[in-house]
Amino acid sequence: MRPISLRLHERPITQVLFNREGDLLFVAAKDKLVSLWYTSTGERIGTYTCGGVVYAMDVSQNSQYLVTASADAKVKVWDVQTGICLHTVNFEVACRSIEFNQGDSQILVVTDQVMGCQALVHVLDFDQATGKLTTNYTFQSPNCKITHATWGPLNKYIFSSGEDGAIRIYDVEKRSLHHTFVENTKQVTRIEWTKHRIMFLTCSKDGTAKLYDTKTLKHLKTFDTGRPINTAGISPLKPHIILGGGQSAESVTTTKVDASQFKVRFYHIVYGDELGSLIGHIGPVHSICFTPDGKTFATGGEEGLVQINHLDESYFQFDEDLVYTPKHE
Amino acid sequence: MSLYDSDDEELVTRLEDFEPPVQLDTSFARFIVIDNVPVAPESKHEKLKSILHKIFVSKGGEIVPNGITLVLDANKNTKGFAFIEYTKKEGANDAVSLLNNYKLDAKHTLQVNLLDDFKKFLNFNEQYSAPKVEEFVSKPNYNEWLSDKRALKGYDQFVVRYGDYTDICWNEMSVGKPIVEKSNTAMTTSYVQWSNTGSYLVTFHPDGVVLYGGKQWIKLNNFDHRGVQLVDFSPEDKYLITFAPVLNDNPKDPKSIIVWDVRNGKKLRGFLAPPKDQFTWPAFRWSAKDRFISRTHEDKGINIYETPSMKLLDNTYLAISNLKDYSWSPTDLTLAYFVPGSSHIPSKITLLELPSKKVLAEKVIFEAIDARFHWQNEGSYLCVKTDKIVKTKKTIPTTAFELFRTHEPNVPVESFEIPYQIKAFAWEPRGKRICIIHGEHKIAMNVTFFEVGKHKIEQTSKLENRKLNTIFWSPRGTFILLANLNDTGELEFYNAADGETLSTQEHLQCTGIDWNPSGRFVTTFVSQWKVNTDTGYNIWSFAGEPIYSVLRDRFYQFNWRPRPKFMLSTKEMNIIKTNYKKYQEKFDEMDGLEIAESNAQEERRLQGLMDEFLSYLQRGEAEYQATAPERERLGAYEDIDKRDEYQSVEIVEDIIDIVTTSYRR
Repeated sequence: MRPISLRLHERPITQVLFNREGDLLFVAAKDKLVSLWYTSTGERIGTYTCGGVVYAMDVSQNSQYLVTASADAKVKVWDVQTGICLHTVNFEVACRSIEFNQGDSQILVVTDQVMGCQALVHVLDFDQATGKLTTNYTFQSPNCKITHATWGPLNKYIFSSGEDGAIRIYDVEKRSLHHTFVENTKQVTRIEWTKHRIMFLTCSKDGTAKLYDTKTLKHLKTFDTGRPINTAGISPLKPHIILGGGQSAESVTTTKVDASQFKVRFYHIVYGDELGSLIGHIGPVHSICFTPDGKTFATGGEEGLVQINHLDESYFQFDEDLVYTPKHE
Repeated sequence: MSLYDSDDEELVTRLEDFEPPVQLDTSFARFIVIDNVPVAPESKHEKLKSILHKIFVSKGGEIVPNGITLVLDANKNTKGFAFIEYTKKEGANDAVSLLNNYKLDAKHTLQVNLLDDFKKFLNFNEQYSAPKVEEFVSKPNYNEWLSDKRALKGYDQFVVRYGDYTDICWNEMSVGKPIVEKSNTAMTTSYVQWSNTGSYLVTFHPDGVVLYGGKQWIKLNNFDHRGVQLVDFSPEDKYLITFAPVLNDNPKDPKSIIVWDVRNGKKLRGFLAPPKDQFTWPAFRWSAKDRFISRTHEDKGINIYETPSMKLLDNTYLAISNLKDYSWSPTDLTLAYFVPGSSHIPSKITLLELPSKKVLAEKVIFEAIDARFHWQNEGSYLCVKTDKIVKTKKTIPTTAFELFRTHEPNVPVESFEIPYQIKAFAWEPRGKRICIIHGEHKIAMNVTFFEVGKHKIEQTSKLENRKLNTIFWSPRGTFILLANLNDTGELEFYNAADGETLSTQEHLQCTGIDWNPSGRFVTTFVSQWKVNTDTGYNIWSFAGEPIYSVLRDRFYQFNWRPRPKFMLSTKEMNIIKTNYKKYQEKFDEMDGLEIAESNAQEERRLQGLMDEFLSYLQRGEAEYQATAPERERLGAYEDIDKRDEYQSVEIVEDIIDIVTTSYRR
């Protein structure tokens, strides 16, 4: 397997994202750019120039609109094909996380806890015909920085991860906090869904990733890597997850580390054992994303490098596929 | 309710609310009774009082004013006894112990008793009752772990400390991870340490150390030593030396260094610690068989104390003027010491037998200024590295060694030299080989192996240009792990018998290495004490195959549990070695069965995990499918399906012809 290296961004990559078909790859970085690439060849299609460091983005399910959240406190809506900014919403502070709901009728935006402002989860209405955003409502602040937020199944709940290691679940209908649980000692960096949002995986700086059942919130599995985890990719096809992370950028310069720190590691989602690892990045990995067909994944790192890995045929023979529906039925 | 309604009791309780009741001294501890006082008429009372006053103040201290009461009869003659009240309880006690049976004159011998004793003896029960015999509580067998089925199969225990945890684990090869036997939090305040034979685990606490052991890991003994920092067991675990820094220690009752009897927990003796700049640990050196402890007596000689009395051997120090260094043999009561020479006298290494003080061997060396002793662990050989004054700047400096064959008659001595300064030196345990790392630059060191032959020491093999700095022999000999410790962590597994490298590995920033007592496994670890990233440990086979590795946040310590000393002699060992095949078959069969069993178990476990996971997954998927209409309503379509319409545009570029035309000017 030879990865395709995408060298464009000069600053750390914050997010890599495939569209629903998996043929387009969006890359957001701290150099204020979002770039668009063909997944199959790694050929660049174009870039979207934002005014600030892009922390997060999402693409609508028909790949028509791109929304970006950036450090200049702006949320922008872009036309994917033409690269025109259709609409801008201004917030008071930097926007940390953004996501379309299922059906693209609303988006959620997370704003940071800085300059006397509290961390908030906002919900905005999205007009699919014009790409206009209108502010709808805001959830009460948890008094703690929110690192990531995502819509739950059928848009009924919003799951958010906090700097205090807590997972907070908001009830969308009641517009209030529904449930909180703390099972990590350090910051939870991201919540990643399995296919169809049946389960979710939390990534934490304490070196563990934890798998939960969405419906019962039962803790199913812990993956312990011993290193801070920034991100995870979950294969929709195979019983595998990929964890990425490593020492944070500021402590890298003060300690002796080698590139093996920044390997992305494959774990078996059921057995929890490490299957293998992939070298390639020379800094902490910040984002991992699988294509929906599970045949390709992309990684983005601190050093600005993005790699597209088209998995080999031997990988698909290595383990059995996940059985989503029992065979006897 | 008026005040008159309340009764007395209530009044008292009310009073107590304001102030506590006065505590009256109702004991007679300060009083003594004197018998056999001369009978005297009234005229002589004052004189008798003054005599008694004089005697009893001199020994017992101050007496309260008018504290002497003479008891009189009807005729105002004294009855022959008197009471004295002292100002302090201690005074009364002193008077009883010092003045009982005091001879006042030929006829009168004073009997002095505490007044309280009278009461005690009056109430004494005349009936004899047999003392109750405490039920015998047997101490747990410290070595019970050796009869565990895992220990019998040759597996070993180890202790690891990480975060707040102290775990005692079994290393089972077939499982591929440590099996935790006992996990504790906050077991110790600093670190833990095994005793030399592995019977005890020492934990440190502000008030002293505690020994744990037995199958249940119960407290076996505690040794109260406030501020204890270091402990040192005797080679056979009979005695324990603890050290705590004490400011202005009392020379009459020193508390810096304490020697204890391990089994009954009794303190044998305290010692003063040497000044901070001369402090080394262990503070005392043990002789073989736990017989003596010793430390230098400035440079005049060695203080040798005999166990368990802790008295100086022959009541004085062993005088060796100008002593530089000394070392005990690990197996015999033999002491080797080095005395550097002066301008006229050459330096000398002496082997002395104790307690007879018979000189076994002497070796004169010229121009040596320092020496380091390296005993082979069975005490058969002693290799002394000597440092000489460098007079001329030779092209290649050399290091000189003296080899003593201590178990051969007349102790033959042999000298040999190797080029360059040495970095590390180690004897093969129970063997005849020496490994030396020497060289000029730390990135290009040489590793040389010597073997003690019948007549001469011979170089057997050599490794060159190695980035290595430490030697770790397998405790069973033959195999050796060479490492670049506290640096980049190169590892070289080497077979000294065949002279071949088994494998080279790396454990980045490795800070320590510990061989399993069986010599089958070796651990390399990175401790938080020195490095703060990627702390944890790796376990390797003796040949350098990785068995498993564990990464732990805040990992501090790894120690294999030592096993008791070998019971077999070298001869018996050799018999086993010749019949090795027979044993091997037996153990292979056992291992095979166990691996098959654990594989089957593992398979069942994994199948169970998979079944559980799939039950969640399939239930979730079924619910997902059931909510399809709801998603339809939301307009969400996640999976690629018939709703996706593709318009595929094919751009065809055909090159029809290429015409080449040449132009001429």
